[in-house]
Amino acid sequence: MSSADLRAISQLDEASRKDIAQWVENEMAQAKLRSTIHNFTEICFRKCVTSIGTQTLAKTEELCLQNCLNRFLDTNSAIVKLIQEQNK
Amino acid sequence: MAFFGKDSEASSTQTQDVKQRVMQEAAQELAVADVTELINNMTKVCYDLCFPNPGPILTSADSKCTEQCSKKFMAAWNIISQTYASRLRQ
Repeated sequence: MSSADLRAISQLDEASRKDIAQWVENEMAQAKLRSTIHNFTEICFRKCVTSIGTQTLAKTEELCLQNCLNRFLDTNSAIVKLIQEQNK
Repeated sequence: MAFFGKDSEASSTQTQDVKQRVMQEAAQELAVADVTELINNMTKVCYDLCFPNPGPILTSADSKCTEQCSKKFMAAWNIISQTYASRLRQ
């Protein structure tokens, strides 16, 4: 955002500034979600797609991608739990 | 934040204009960042898959591999996104 925009925003009434702040918060949350999905896709594509030769995913590759993400998320929650227990 | 500076009020049409312009610009920036991340990731992954031993020229097989890889990558993106969404709903 340019400094001219920031100046323009600072001159808006409070309700409008709140609207924009709310909107920005929303958009940032969505952007973060999409970025997380990009990251997961890279991790699981590397694991599950080891050769190219068709432009569609094989059924086994699709299944692998689903399992890859689910086990990755399980790993994440297991680690969070372990760290929390250590800190008790 | 600079957002919450002074409070001199603008007219309501001006206000709508400013709001709309700011949101449009911000949405545009976020969309560019999003597609850049997709392109960068896809390039890294497909380069690694299609060019284990990069040769002196780009062959038609290389181009075909890159094209197929990018299509598979998009399909994988959709599956990961659906799987993640259903996981978040649990």
